[in-house]
Amino acid sequence: MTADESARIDPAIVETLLSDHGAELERFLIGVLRDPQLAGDALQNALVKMVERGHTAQEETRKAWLFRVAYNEALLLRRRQATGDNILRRLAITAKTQTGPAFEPVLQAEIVSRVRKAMEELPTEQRRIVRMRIYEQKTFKVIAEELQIPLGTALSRMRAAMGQLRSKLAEPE
Amino acid sequence: MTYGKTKNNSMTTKSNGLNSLDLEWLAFQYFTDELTEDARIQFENSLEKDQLAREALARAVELTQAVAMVEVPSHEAASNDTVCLPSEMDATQILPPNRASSAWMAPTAWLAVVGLVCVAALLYWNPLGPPANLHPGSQPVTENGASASDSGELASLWVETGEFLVTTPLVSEDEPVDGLLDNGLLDDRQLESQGEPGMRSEVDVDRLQAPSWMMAAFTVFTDVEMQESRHEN
Repeated sequence: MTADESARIDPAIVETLLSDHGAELERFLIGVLRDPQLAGDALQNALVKMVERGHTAQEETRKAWLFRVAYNEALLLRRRQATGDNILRRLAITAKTQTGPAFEPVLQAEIVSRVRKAMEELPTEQRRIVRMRIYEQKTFKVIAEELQIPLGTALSRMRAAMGQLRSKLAEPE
Repeated sequence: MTYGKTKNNSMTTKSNGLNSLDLEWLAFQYFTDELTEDARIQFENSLEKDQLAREALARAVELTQAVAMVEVPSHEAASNDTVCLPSEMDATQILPPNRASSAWMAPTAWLAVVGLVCVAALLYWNPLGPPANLHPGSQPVTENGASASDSGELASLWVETGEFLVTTPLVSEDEPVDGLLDNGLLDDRQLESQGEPGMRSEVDVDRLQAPSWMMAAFTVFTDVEMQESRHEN
């Protein structure tokens, strides 16, 4: 065993990190890259870095260390490859076929079910804006023009809706 | 750190003053590409250093993804403000609510029509059916003007003609069925030419008008008979 190999982090620790934070990390990478496939690549690269150099991170900061390394890997990938702007559509389609840790089918179905219920409980004007922004992928400027409301109103409705949906998701079953 | 204004100039927030809701909203705007270039760069700087911002972005992605995957309720799909991603929709969502169940209704409706015709025919043929009219002057009249007794006679005649059709089709294979209907099922010349002179004397065919249900039934009956005779030939 070489010195480099002996200095590597215990694979069991990496496995635990991935189990605990892999899904969140993948979503974070999707948020940065807007491309689930690139996010998967960045995640793989980050795990390799974690195995090679993770021993330098303090135990209590390993998660933040992993996220930071993953972020840097994501920026590297983003520079190499241009990404399209149709992220919402690709995200929804990919999520239905993805088998990675971020898209555990049972958990995914549960989340979707809860969001659907929360959507139904939204006031009509908020639900309309959520649909226009996420389903129809219209910008807030276009939404405001179509609904003939001030831009700030459209934004505040969306923000209120997202806040309500988030709080519903955070509630224990 | 100042995040600056969004593209929509609607908010100005500072990193130090950001509460969790502000951070979540900022992360959502970053993910949906609603930030100005300056705000985007500033937020990405925070992503490099701030674990809370990274986690907020992960939550924004999770929430947006879940919302994007929620199917549009069927009762709202018809309204203008609800659009589902085309690639997400399956056939049952595209079809109108009544369309999906209509596939089995067509044969069922036909069976019901045929059944009704048979029941109506049996009622007229059955000796235990509607009693004979005790008052000849007050015969009930069918919708097309034929009296009930006329219809009974027609039914009897139709049975006999039907039996006759089984062995000797009234029309040739080249003659369209419509021609038969246009000329009238009970055309006197047809009956006499087939060697049934007595039938003309027993029934005053000219004053009879075939009810619509009988014509419909006869059309089906004739089709079946013609197909069978073709098979036999």
